[in-house]
Amino acid sequence: MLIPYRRRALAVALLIQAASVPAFAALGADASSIASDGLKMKGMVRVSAARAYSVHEIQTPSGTLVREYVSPAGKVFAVAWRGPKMPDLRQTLGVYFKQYSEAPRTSLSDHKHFAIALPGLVMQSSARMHAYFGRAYVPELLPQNVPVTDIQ
Amino acid sequence: MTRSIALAPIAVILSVVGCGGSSGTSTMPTQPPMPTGANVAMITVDAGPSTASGIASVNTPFVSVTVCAPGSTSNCQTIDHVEVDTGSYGLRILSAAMSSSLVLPQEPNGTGGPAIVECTVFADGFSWGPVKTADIQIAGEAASAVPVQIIGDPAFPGIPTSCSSTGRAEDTVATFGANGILGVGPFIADEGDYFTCSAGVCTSTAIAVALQVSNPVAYFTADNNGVIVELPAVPAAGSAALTGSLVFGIGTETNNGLGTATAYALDPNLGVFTVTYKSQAYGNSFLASGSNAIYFVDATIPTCSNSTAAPGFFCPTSTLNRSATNTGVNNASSAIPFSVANAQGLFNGNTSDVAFEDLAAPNADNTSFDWGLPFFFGRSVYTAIADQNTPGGIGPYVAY
Repeated sequence: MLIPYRRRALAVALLIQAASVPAFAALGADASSIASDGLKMKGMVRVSAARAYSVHEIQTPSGTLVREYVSPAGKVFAVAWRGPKMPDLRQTLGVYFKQYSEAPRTSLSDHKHFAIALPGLVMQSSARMHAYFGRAYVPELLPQNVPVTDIQ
Repeated sequence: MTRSIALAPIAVILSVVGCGGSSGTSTMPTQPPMPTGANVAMITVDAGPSTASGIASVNTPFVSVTVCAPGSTSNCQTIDHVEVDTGSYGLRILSAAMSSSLVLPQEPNGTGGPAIVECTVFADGFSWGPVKTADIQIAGEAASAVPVQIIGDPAFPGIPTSCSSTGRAEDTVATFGANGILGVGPFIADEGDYFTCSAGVCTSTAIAVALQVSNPVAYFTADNNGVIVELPAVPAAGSAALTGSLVFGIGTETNNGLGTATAYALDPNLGVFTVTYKSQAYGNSFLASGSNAIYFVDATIPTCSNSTAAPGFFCPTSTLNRSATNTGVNNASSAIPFSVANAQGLFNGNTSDVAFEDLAAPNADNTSFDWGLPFFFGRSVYTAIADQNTPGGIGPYVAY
Protein backbone atom coordinates (compact mmCIF):
# COMPACT_ATOMS: atom_id res chain seq x y z
CA MET A 1 0.00 0.00 0.00
CA LEU A 2 1.31 3.39 -0.90
CA ILE A 3 0.75 6.06 1.65
CA PRO A 4 0.45 9.58 0.35
CA TYR A 5 2.08 12.35 2.28
CA ARG A 6 1.91 16.06 2.03
CA ARG A 7 5.23 17.38 0.96
CA ARG A 8 6.45 20.10 3.24
CA ALA A 9 7.11 22.96 0.88
CA LEU A 10 8.78 24.99 3.60
CA ALA A 11 11.39 22.43 4.42
CA VAL A 12 11.90 20.63 1.15
CA ALA A 13 12.74 23.17 -1.48
CA LEU A 14 14.92 21.34 -3.92
CA LEU A 15 15.44 17.79 -5.07
CA ILE A 16 18.73 16.62 -6.47
CA GLN A 17 19.86 13.19 -7.57
CA ALA A 18 21.39 10.89 -5.03
CA ALA A 19 24.39 10.16 -7.17
CA SER A 20 25.87 13.53 -6.39
CA VAL A 21 25.68 13.00 -2.64
CA PRO A 22 27.01 9.64 -1.44
CA ALA A 23 26.17 10.28 2.19
CA PHE A 24 23.82 8.07 4.16
CA ALA A 25 24.05 7.04 7.76
CA ALA A 26 22.12 6.09 10.87
CA LEU A 27 20.79 8.40 13.56
CA GLY A 28 23.62 10.27 15.26
CA ALA A 29 26.22 9.25 12.70
CA ASP A 30 28.17 11.44 10.30
CA ALA A 31 26.37 11.82 7.01
CA SER A 32 29.67 11.63 5.21
CA SER A 33 30.74 8.35 6.76
CA ILE A 34 28.93 5.62 4.85
CA ALA A 35 26.08 4.86 2.51
CA SER A 36 25.38 1.77 4.56
CA ASP A 37 21.71 2.34 5.30
CA GLY A 38 20.77 2.56 1.66
CA LEU A 39 22.83 -0.53 0.86
CA LYS A 40 21.55 -2.49 3.84
CA MET A 41 17.94 -1.68 3.03
CA LYS A 42 18.52 -2.17 -0.71
CA GLY A 43 16.83 1.17 -1.14
CA MET A 44 17.03 4.00 -3.60
CA VAL A 45 18.50 7.10 -2.00
CA ARG A 46 17.66 10.65 -2.97
CA VAL A 47 18.53 13.89 -1.24
CA SER A 48 16.54 17.06 -0.67
CA ALA A 49 18.20 20.31 0.28
CA ALA A 50 16.24 22.34 2.81
CA ARG A 51 16.62 25.56 4.68
CA ALA A 52 18.42 24.34 7.78
CA TYR A 53 19.11 20.72 6.93
CA SER A 54 18.97 18.18 4.14
CA VAL A 55 16.73 15.14 3.88
CA HIS A 56 18.06 11.84 2.58
CA GLU A 57 15.33 9.42 1.51
CA ILE A 58 15.52 5.67 1.10
CA GLN A 59 12.63 4.03 -0.74
CA THR A 60 12.86 0.39 0.32
CA PRO A 61 11.67 -2.49 -1.88
CA SER A 62 8.82 -3.14 0.59
CA GLY A 63 7.44 0.30 -0.16
CA THR A 64 8.49 1.91 3.12
CA LEU A 65 10.04 5.37 2.89
CA VAL A 66 12.85 6.16 5.36
CA ARG A 67 13.99 9.75 5.73
CA GLU A 68 17.20 10.84 7.42
CA TYR A 69 17.61 14.47 8.41
CA VAL A 70 21.17 15.81 8.20
CA SER A 71 22.25 18.99 9.98
CA PRO A 72 24.64 21.59 8.52
CA ALA A 73 27.23 20.01 10.83
CA GLY A 74 26.84 16.79 8.86
CA LYS A 75 25.12 14.74 11.56
CA VAL A 76 21.94 12.71 11.14
CA PHE A 77 19.83 14.38 13.82
CA ALA A 78 16.51 12.71 13.01
CA VAL A 79 14.94 9.82 11.13
CA ALA A 80 11.34 9.16 10.09
CA TRP A 81 9.57 6.31 8.34
CA ARG A 82 6.22 5.50 6.77
CA GLY A 83 4.98 2.54 4.77
CA PRO A 84 3.69 -1.03 4.77
CA LYS A 85 6.64 -2.54 6.71
CA MET A 86 8.65 -1.48 9.73
CA PRO A 87 12.12 -0.48 8.53
CA ASP A 88 15.29 -2.05 9.90
CA LEU A 89 15.40 -0.09 13.15
CA ARG A 90 18.84 -1.41 14.12
CA GLN A 91 20.20 0.20 10.99
CA THR A 92 18.02 3.32 11.12
CA LEU A 93 18.56 4.11 14.80
CA GLY A 94 22.22 3.05 14.77
CA VAL A 95 23.82 3.45 18.21
CA TYR A 96 20.46 4.66 19.56
CA PHE A 97 18.82 1.27 18.99
CA LYS A 98 20.17 0.13 22.37
CA GLN A 99 18.63 3.11 24.18
CA TYR A 100 15.30 2.47 22.45
CA SER A 101 15.26 -1.23 23.13
CA GLU A 102 16.25 -0.84 26.78
CA ALA A 103 13.82 2.00 27.57
CA PRO A 104 11.29 0.83 30.15
CA ARG A 105 7.82 -0.03 28.89
CA THR A 106 5.25 2.67 29.72
CA SER A 107 1.46 2.71 30.00
CA LEU A 108 1.31 4.14 26.48
CA SER A 109 2.85 0.99 24.98
CA ASP A 110 -0.24 -0.78 23.56
CA HIS A 111 1.27 -2.58 20.54
CA LYS A 112 -0.16 0.02 18.16
CA HIS A 113 1.81 2.90 19.70
CA PHE A 114 5.13 3.63 21.33
CA ALA A 115 6.67 6.82 22.68
CA ILE A 116 9.79 7.72 24.63
CA ALA A 117 11.24 11.13 25.43
CA LEU A 118 14.62 10.45 27.00
CA PRO A 119 17.12 13.30 27.38
CA GLY A 120 19.14 11.78 24.53
CA LEU A 121 16.42 10.28 22.32
CA VAL A 122 12.84 11.16 21.45
CA MET A 123 10.84 8.58 19.50
CA GLN A 124 7.22 8.00 18.51
CA SER A 125 5.80 5.10 16.56
CA SER A 126 2.33 4.05 15.39
CA ALA A 127 1.31 0.89 13.56
CA ARG A 128 -1.78 -0.70 12.11
CA MET A 129 -2.20 -3.42 9.50
CA HIS A 130 0.29 -2.71 6.68
CA ALA A 131 0.98 0.83 7.89
CA TYR A 132 3.96 1.79 10.04
CA PHE A 133 4.77 5.37 10.93
CA GLY A 134 7.48 6.67 13.21
CA ARG A 135 10.09 9.26 13.93
CA ALA A 136 13.09 9.64 16.21
CA TYR A 137 15.45 12.50 16.89
CA VAL A 138 18.36 13.39 19.11
CA PRO A 139 17.52 16.68 20.90
CA GLU A 140 21.14 17.76 21.32
CA LEU A 141 21.81 17.34 17.58
CA LEU A 142 18.68 19.24 16.47
CA PRO A 143 19.75 22.38 14.57
CA GLN A 144 18.43 25.66 15.90
CA ASN A 145 15.09 26.86 14.55
CA VAL A 146 14.07 23.45 13.22
CA PRO A 147 10.61 22.58 14.56
CA VAL A 148 10.29 18.91 15.50
CA THR A 149 7.03 18.85 13.49
CA ASP A 150 9.26 18.95 10.38
CA ILE A 151 10.33 15.40 11.18
CA GLN A 152 7.77 13.11 9.62
CA MET B 1 8.03 7.42 37.49
CA THR B 2 5.77 4.66 36.28
CA ARG B 3 2.40 3.45 37.41
CA SER B 4 2.86 0.64 39.86
CA ILE B 5 0.91 -2.54 39.36
CA ALA B 6 1.10 -3.39 43.06
CA LEU B 7 -2.58 -2.64 43.62
CA ALA B 8 -3.71 -4.50 40.54
CA PRO B 9 -4.70 -7.82 42.12
CA ILE B 10 -7.04 -5.99 44.49
CA ALA B 11 -8.65 -4.16 41.61
CA VAL B 12 -9.02 -7.39 39.67
CA ILE B 13 -10.74 -9.21 42.49
CA LEU B 14 -13.08 -6.36 43.29
CA SER B 15 -14.03 -5.77 39.69
CA VAL B 16 -16.18 -8.88 39.79
CA VAL B 17 -18.36 -7.54 42.57
CA GLY B 18 -18.32 -3.90 41.52
CA CYS B 19 -16.24 -0.95 42.50
CA GLY B 20 -16.10 -1.40 46.24
CA GLY B 21 -12.71 -0.86 47.71
CA SER B 22 -11.48 1.75 45.28
CA SER B 23 -10.57 4.87 47.14
CA GLY B 24 -10.19 8.46 46.08
CA THR B 25 -12.30 10.72 43.96
CA SER B 26 -13.37 8.53 41.06
CA THR B 27 -16.93 7.33 40.99
CA MET B 28 -18.60 4.11 40.00
CA PRO B 29 -19.23 3.85 36.24
CA THR B 30 -22.81 3.53 35.09
CA GLN B 31 -23.03 -0.19 34.52
CA PRO B 32 -25.60 -1.07 31.84
CA PRO B 33 -27.40 -4.39 32.17
CA MET B 34 -25.07 -7.10 30.94
CA PRO B 35 -26.54 -9.02 28.01
CA THR B 36 -26.82 -12.71 28.63
CA GLY B 37 -26.49 -15.65 26.30
CA ALA B 38 -24.04 -18.21 24.99
CA ASN B 39 -22.67 -15.57 22.62
CA VAL B 40 -21.61 -13.17 25.39
CA ALA B 41 -18.13 -13.11 26.96
CA MET B 42 -17.35 -10.83 29.87
CA ILE B 43 -14.82 -8.07 29.20
CA THR B 44 -12.76 -6.76 32.10
CA VAL B 45 -10.87 -3.49 31.86
CA ASP B 46 -8.28 -3.77 34.59
CA ALA B 47 -4.57 -3.38 35.32
CA GLY B 48 -3.64 -6.52 33.40
CA PRO B 49 -2.22 -9.91 34.34
CA SER B 50 -0.66 -9.96 37.78
CA THR B 51 2.43 -11.58 36.30
CA ALA B 52 3.06 -8.51 34.12
CA SER B 53 5.03 -6.84 36.87
CA GLY B 54 5.98 -3.23 36.53
CA ILE B 55 3.47 -1.42 34.37
CA ALA B 56 -0.27 -1.36 34.87
CA SER B 57 -2.41 -1.51 31.75
CA VAL B 58 -4.75 1.42 31.12
CA ASN B 59 -7.82 1.32 28.88
CA THR B 60 -7.15 -2.30 27.95
CA PRO B 61 -10.11 -4.72 27.58
CA PHE B 62 -9.47 -8.34 28.46
CA VAL B 63 -11.42 -11.60 28.01
CA SER B 64 -10.78 -15.22 28.92
CA VAL B 65 -10.26 -17.67 26.09
CA THR B 66 -10.30 -21.46 26.32
CA VAL B 67 -7.76 -23.17 24.09
CA CYS B 68 -7.94 -26.92 23.43
CA ALA B 69 -5.88 -29.37 21.45
CA PRO B 70 -7.80 -29.99 18.20
CA GLY B 71 -10.58 -32.52 18.71
CA SER B 72 -10.12 -32.66 22.48
CA THR B 73 -12.59 -31.44 25.10
CA SER B 74 -10.31 -32.30 28.01
CA ASN B 75 -6.84 -31.16 26.96
CA CYS B 76 -7.79 -27.53 27.39
CA GLN B 77 -6.72 -24.41 29.25
CA THR B 78 -8.62 -21.25 29.98
CA ILE B 79 -6.33 -18.26 29.59
CA ASP B 80 -7.34 -15.02 31.28
CA HIS B 81 -6.27 -11.49 30.40
CA VAL B 82 -6.30 -11.90 26.63
CA GLU B 83 -6.57 -8.41 25.16
CA VAL B 84 -9.56 -7.76 22.88
CA ASP B 85 -8.54 -5.85 19.76
CA THR B 86 -11.00 -4.83 17.04
CA GLY B 87 -8.02 -3.47 15.11
CA SER B 88 -6.14 -6.71 14.40
CA TYR B 89 -6.73 -10.31 13.38
CA GLY B 90 -6.26 -13.63 15.11
CA LEU B 91 -5.46 -15.14 18.47
CA ARG B 92 -1.92 -14.92 19.87
CA ILE B 93 -1.03 -16.48 23.20
CA LEU B 94 2.16 -16.05 25.20
CA SER B 95 3.91 -19.39 25.56
CA ALA B 96 4.68 -18.40 29.15
CA ALA B 97 0.93 -18.24 29.90
CA MET B 98 0.33 -21.79 28.65
CA SER B 99 0.47 -24.95 30.67
CA SER B 100 3.17 -27.37 29.50
CA SER B 101 0.49 -30.09 29.43
CA LEU B 102 -1.41 -28.31 26.65
CA VAL B 103 0.38 -29.47 23.53
CA LEU B 104 -0.87 -27.98 20.28
CA PRO B 105 0.13 -29.33 16.87
CA GLN B 106 2.58 -27.26 14.84
CA GLU B 107 1.11 -26.01 11.56
CA PRO B 108 3.24 -27.18 8.61
CA ASN B 109 3.46 -25.32 5.32
CA GLY B 110 1.70 -28.07 3.39
CA THR B 111 1.55 -31.73 4.39
CA GLY B 112 4.94 -32.75 5.75
CA GLY B 113 6.27 -29.26 5.08
CA PRO B 114 8.42 -27.07 7.33
CA ALA B 115 7.01 -25.33 10.42
CA ILE B 116 5.24 -22.00 9.91
CA VAL B 117 6.50 -19.28 12.27
CA GLU B 118 5.35 -15.66 12.38
CA CYS B 119 7.01 -12.37 13.17
CA THR B 120 4.26 -10.03 14.35
CA VAL B 121 5.56 -6.49 14.09
CA PHE B 122 3.95 -3.97 16.42
CA ALA B 123 4.69 -0.28 16.83
CA ASP B 124 6.44 -0.99 20.13
CA GLY B 125 8.22 -4.25 19.34
CA PHE B 126 7.89 -7.65 17.71
CA SER B 127 6.52 -11.05 18.77
CA TRP B 128 8.14 -14.15 17.30
CA GLY B 129 6.57 -17.58 17.53
CA PRO B 130 5.17 -20.61 15.73
CA VAL B 131 1.71 -20.99 14.24
CA LYS B 132 -0.15 -23.87 15.85
CA THR B 133 -3.63 -25.27 15.42
CA ALA B 134 -6.15 -25.03 18.25
CA ASP B 135 -9.81 -25.43 19.04
CA ILE B 136 -11.03 -22.24 20.67
CA GLN B 137 -13.95 -21.62 22.98
CA ILE B 138 -15.07 -18.16 24.08
CA ALA B 139 -18.23 -18.01 26.17
CA GLY B 140 -20.51 -20.56 24.44
CA GLU B 141 -18.97 -20.18 21.00
CA ALA B 142 -16.61 -22.78 19.54
CA ALA B 143 -14.18 -22.77 16.64
CA SER B 144 -12.24 -25.77 15.35
CA ALA B 145 -8.70 -25.99 14.03
CA VAL B 146 -7.89 -22.29 14.07
CA PRO B 147 -4.31 -21.18 13.26
CA VAL B 148 -3.01 -19.28 16.31
CA GLN B 149 0.40 -17.83 17.13
CA ILE B 150 2.28 -19.00 20.21
CA ILE B 151 4.59 -16.13 21.18
CA GLY B 152 7.96 -16.87 22.73
CA ASP B 153 7.83 -20.62 22.21
CA PRO B 154 11.22 -21.97 23.39
CA ALA B 155 11.16 -24.49 20.53
CA PHE B 156 12.01 -21.64 18.13
CA PRO B 157 14.79 -19.66 19.79
CA GLY B 158 16.51 -18.47 16.63
CA ILE B 159 14.91 -15.19 15.59
CA PRO B 160 15.81 -14.12 12.04
CA THR B 161 17.58 -10.76 11.88
CA SER B 162 14.89 -9.34 9.59
CA CYS B 163 12.45 -9.89 12.47
CA SER B 164 14.59 -8.89 15.44
CA SER B 165 15.75 -5.69 13.72
CA THR B 166 12.17 -4.36 13.64
CA GLY B 167 12.26 -3.49 17.33
CA ARG B 168 12.39 -4.90 20.81
CA ALA B 169 11.18 -8.37 21.72
CA GLU B 170 7.72 -8.74 23.27
CA ASP B 171 7.89 -12.42 24.12
CA THR B 172 7.06 -12.45 27.83
CA VAL B 173 3.85 -11.52 29.67
CA ALA B 174 5.69 -8.55 31.20
CA THR B 175 6.92 -7.17 27.88
CA PHE B 176 3.67 -7.98 26.06
CA GLY B 177 1.39 -6.62 28.81
CA ALA B 178 -1.16 -9.42 28.45
CA ASN B 179 -1.38 -13.21 28.30
CA GLY B 180 -2.38 -12.89 24.67
CA ILE B 181 -4.32 -10.82 22.16
CA LEU B 182 -7.59 -11.67 20.40
CA GLY B 183 -7.85 -9.84 17.07
CA VAL B 184 -11.53 -9.58 16.11
CA GLY B 185 -11.29 -6.84 13.48
CA PRO B 186 -13.22 -6.55 10.20
CA PHE B 187 -11.09 -9.06 8.26
CA ILE B 188 -10.18 -12.72 8.77
CA ALA B 189 -6.51 -13.48 7.90
CA ASP B 190 -3.77 -11.33 9.43
CA GLU B 191 -1.59 -11.04 6.26
CA GLY B 192 1.45 -11.00 8.52
CA ASP B 193 5.15 -11.68 8.05
CA TYR B 194 5.68 -15.44 7.89
CA PHE B 195 8.68 -17.72 7.90
CA THR B 196 9.18 -21.43 7.43
CA CYS B 197 11.70 -23.07 9.72
CA SER B 198 13.44 -26.40 9.52
CA ALA B 199 16.54 -27.58 11.37
CA GLY B 200 16.77 -24.19 13.06
CA VAL B 201 16.94 -22.22 9.83
CA CYS B 202 14.07 -19.84 9.12
CA THR B 203 13.30 -18.33 5.74
CA SER B 204 10.84 -15.56 4.90
CA THR B 205 7.95 -17.25 3.06
CA ALA B 206 4.56 -16.30 1.64
CA ILE B 207 1.87 -18.39 3.33
CA ALA B 208 -1.56 -19.35 1.95
CA VAL B 209 -4.36 -17.26 3.46
CA ALA B 210 -6.04 -20.35 4.92
CA LEU B 211 -2.91 -21.14 6.94
CA GLN B 212 -2.48 -17.63 8.35
CA VAL B 213 -3.32 -16.64 11.92
CA SER B 214 -7.00 -15.70 11.65
CA ASN B 215 -9.89 -14.03 13.42
CA PRO B 216 -11.51 -16.94 15.33
CA VAL B 217 -14.97 -15.34 15.10
CA ALA B 218 -15.11 -16.25 11.41
CA TYR B 219 -14.42 -19.88 12.43
CA PHE B 220 -17.37 -20.07 14.86
CA THR B 221 -20.17 -22.36 13.71
CA ALA B 222 -22.70 -19.57 14.48
CA ASP B 223 -22.65 -15.85 15.33
CA ASN B 224 -19.67 -15.53 13.02
CA ASN B 225 -20.31 -12.29 11.08
CA GLY B 226 -18.84 -9.84 13.60
CA VAL B 227 -18.72 -8.69 17.20
CA ILE B 228 -20.12 -6.01 19.50
CA VAL B 229 -18.03 -4.43 22.25
CA GLU B 230 -20.25 -2.99 24.98
CA LEU B 231 -18.64 -0.97 27.77
CA PRO B 232 -20.13 1.36 30.38
CA ALA B 233 -19.54 5.09 30.37
CA VAL B 234 -16.80 6.24 32.75
CA PRO B 235 -16.59 9.53 34.62
CA ALA B 236 -14.17 12.25 33.51
CA ALA B 237 -11.85 11.59 36.44
CA GLY B 238 -11.47 7.95 35.48
CA SER B 239 -12.66 4.65 36.84
CA ALA B 240 -11.33 1.65 38.66
CA ALA B 241 -11.65 -1.75 36.98
CA LEU B 242 -14.95 -2.25 35.17
CA THR B 243 -16.72 -4.92 33.18
CA GLY B 244 -18.52 -5.05 29.84
CA SER B 245 -19.39 -7.53 27.13
CA LEU B 246 -17.95 -8.99 23.97
CA VAL B 247 -21.02 -10.16 22.04
CA PHE B 248 -20.56 -12.46 19.05
CA GLY B 249 -22.67 -12.09 15.91
CA ILE B 250 -24.63 -9.16 14.51
CA GLY B 251 -28.38 -9.72 14.13
CA THR B 252 -28.00 -13.46 14.62
CA GLU B 253 -29.62 -13.70 18.08
CA THR B 254 -32.16 -11.77 20.12
CA ASN B 255 -29.35 -9.99 21.99
CA ASN B 256 -27.21 -8.70 19.13
CA GLY B 257 -29.46 -6.71 16.80
CA LEU B 258 -28.27 -3.41 15.38
CA GLY B 259 -31.10 -1.52 17.07
CA THR B 260 -30.70 2.19 16.40
CA ALA B 261 -27.01 1.94 15.49
CA THR B 262 -25.82 3.41 12.19
CA ALA B 263 -23.39 1.48 9.98
CA TYR B 264 -20.25 3.29 8.76
CA ALA B 265 -18.86 1.31 5.85
CA LEU B 266 -15.09 0.74 5.83
CA ASP B 267 -12.71 0.66 2.90
CA PRO B 268 -12.99 -2.98 1.72
CA ASN B 269 -9.20 -3.36 1.41
CA LEU B 270 -7.86 -1.32 4.32
CA GLY B 271 -10.70 -1.39 6.85
CA VAL B 272 -10.52 2.36 7.40
CA PHE B 273 -12.89 5.34 7.23
CA THR B 274 -12.43 9.11 7.37
CA VAL B 275 -12.28 11.25 10.48
CA THR B 276 -12.28 15.01 10.05
CA TYR B 277 -10.65 17.00 12.84
CA LYS B 278 -9.95 20.75 12.70
CA SER B 279 -10.93 20.75 8.99
CA GLN B 280 -8.29 18.12 8.20
CA ALA B 281 -9.52 14.79 6.78
CA TYR B 282 -7.67 11.70 8.05
CA GLY B 283 -8.53 9.02 5.50
CA ASN B 284 -6.93 6.03 7.29
CA SER B 285 -8.92 6.26 10.53
CA PHE B 286 -10.40 3.45 12.59
CA LEU B 287 -12.00 2.28 15.83
CA ALA B 288 -9.66 -0.10 17.66
CA SER B 289 -10.41 -1.43 21.13
CA GLY B 290 -6.71 -2.31 21.29
CA SER B 291 -5.63 1.34 21.17
CA ASN B 292 -5.60 2.58 24.74
CA ALA B 293 -6.18 6.27 24.05
CA ILE B 294 -7.43 8.64 21.37
CA TYR B 295 -4.39 9.01 19.12
CA PHE B 296 -4.48 11.99 16.76
CA VAL B 297 -2.37 14.78 15.34
CA ASP B 298 -2.52 18.14 17.10
CA ALA B 299 0.81 19.90 17.55
CA THR B 300 -0.86 22.58 19.69
CA ILE B 301 -1.42 20.19 22.63
CA PRO B 302 1.60 19.62 24.88
CA THR B 303 2.65 16.09 25.80
CA CYS B 304 3.53 14.83 29.28
CA SER B 305 7.27 14.64 29.86
CA ASN B 306 9.22 11.54 30.81
CA SER B 307 9.36 12.66 34.44
CA THR B 308 5.56 12.47 34.79
CA ALA B 309 3.33 9.52 35.51
CA ALA B 310 2.03 9.55 31.92
CA PRO B 311 4.98 10.05 29.55
CA GLY B 312 3.96 10.51 25.92
CA PHE B 313 0.25 11.19 26.50
CA PHE B 314 -1.30 14.62 26.00
CA CYS B 315 -0.93 16.97 28.97
CA PRO B 316 -2.99 20.13 28.28
CA THR B 317 -3.07 22.63 31.16
CA SER B 318 -6.84 22.12 31.39
CA THR B 319 -9.25 19.67 29.82
CA LEU B 320 -9.96 20.42 26.16
CA ASN B 321 -13.40 19.79 24.67
CA ARG B 322 -13.11 18.90 21.01
CA SER B 323 -15.12 17.32 18.22
CA ALA B 324 -14.32 15.13 15.23
CA THR B 325 -16.57 13.78 12.50
CA ASN B 326 -16.61 10.15 11.40
CA THR B 327 -17.58 9.49 7.78
CA GLY B 328 -17.95 5.99 6.36
CA VAL B 329 -17.26 5.12 2.73
CA ASN B 330 -21.09 4.91 2.47
CA ASN B 331 -21.12 8.61 3.46
CA ALA B 332 -22.83 7.90 6.81
CA SER B 333 -21.52 10.62 9.08
CA SER B 334 -21.67 11.75 12.69
CA ALA B 335 -19.92 14.31 14.86
CA ILE B 336 -18.29 12.88 17.97
CA PRO B 337 -17.56 15.20 20.90
CA PHE B 338 -14.57 14.15 22.99
CA SER B 339 -12.33 15.49 25.72
CA VAL B 340 -8.59 15.57 26.19
CA ALA B 341 -7.65 15.67 29.86
CA ASN B 342 -4.22 16.19 31.37
CA ALA B 343 -2.99 12.59 31.49
CA GLN B 344 -0.62 13.24 34.37
CA GLY B 345 -3.56 14.59 36.37
CA LEU B 346 -5.65 11.55 35.44
CA PHE B 347 -2.96 9.08 36.46
CA ASN B 348 -2.09 10.90 39.67
CA GLY B 349 -5.75 11.44 40.62
CA ASN B 350 -6.37 7.89 41.70
CA THR B 351 -3.55 5.47 41.18
CA SER B 352 -5.89 2.47 41.03
CA ASP B 353 -7.88 3.90 38.11
CA VAL B 354 -7.44 2.02 34.85
CA ALA B 355 -10.21 3.38 32.59
CA PHE B 356 -10.22 6.93 31.19
CA GLU B 357 -12.59 8.30 28.54
CA ASP B 358 -10.50 11.46 28.04
CA LEU B 359 -7.01 9.96 27.63
CA ALA B 360 -5.34 11.00 24.38
CA ALA B 361 -1.90 11.09 22.78
CA PRO B 362 -0.10 12.24 19.63
CA ASN B 363 -0.34 9.94 16.62
CA ALA B 364 2.88 9.33 14.69
CA ASP B 365 0.61 8.28 11.80
CA ASN B 366 -0.46 11.62 10.35
CA THR B 367 -2.92 9.99 7.96
CA SER B 368 -5.16 8.52 10.67
CA PHE B 369 -7.30 9.42 13.66
CA ASP B 370 -7.29 6.41 15.96
CA TRP B 371 -10.24 6.56 18.35
CA GLY B 372 -9.09 3.84 20.69
CA LEU B 373 -10.94 2.49 23.72
CA PRO B 374 -12.20 5.89 24.97
CA PHE B 375 -14.66 5.85 22.05
CA PHE B 376 -16.07 2.53 23.25
CA PHE B 377 -17.01 3.73 26.76
CA GLY B 378 -20.75 4.28 26.99
CA ARG B 379 -21.39 2.77 23.55
CA SER B 380 -22.16 -0.50 21.82
CA VAL B 381 -19.66 -0.65 18.96
CA TYR B 382 -20.28 -3.18 16.18
CA THR B 383 -17.51 -4.51 13.93
CA ALA B 384 -18.78 -6.45 10.89
CA ILE B 385 -16.38 -8.80 9.10
CA ALA B 386 -15.67 -8.29 5.37
CA ASP B 387 -17.98 -10.12 2.96
CA GLN B 388 -20.29 -11.31 5.77
CA ASN B 389 -24.03 -10.63 5.59
CA THR B 390 -25.61 -8.74 8.47
CA PRO B 391 -28.87 -6.80 8.94
CA GLY B 392 -26.75 -3.65 8.46
CA GLY B 393 -25.43 -4.77 5.09
CA ILE B 394 -22.32 -6.63 4.03
CA GLY B 395 -19.10 -6.03 5.96
CA PRO B 396 -16.68 -4.50 6.50
CA TYR B 397 -18.29 -1.81 8.59
CA VAL B 398 -18.40 -0.41 12.08
CA ALA B 399 -21.68 0.66 13.65
CA TYR B 400 -22.62 2.53 16.79
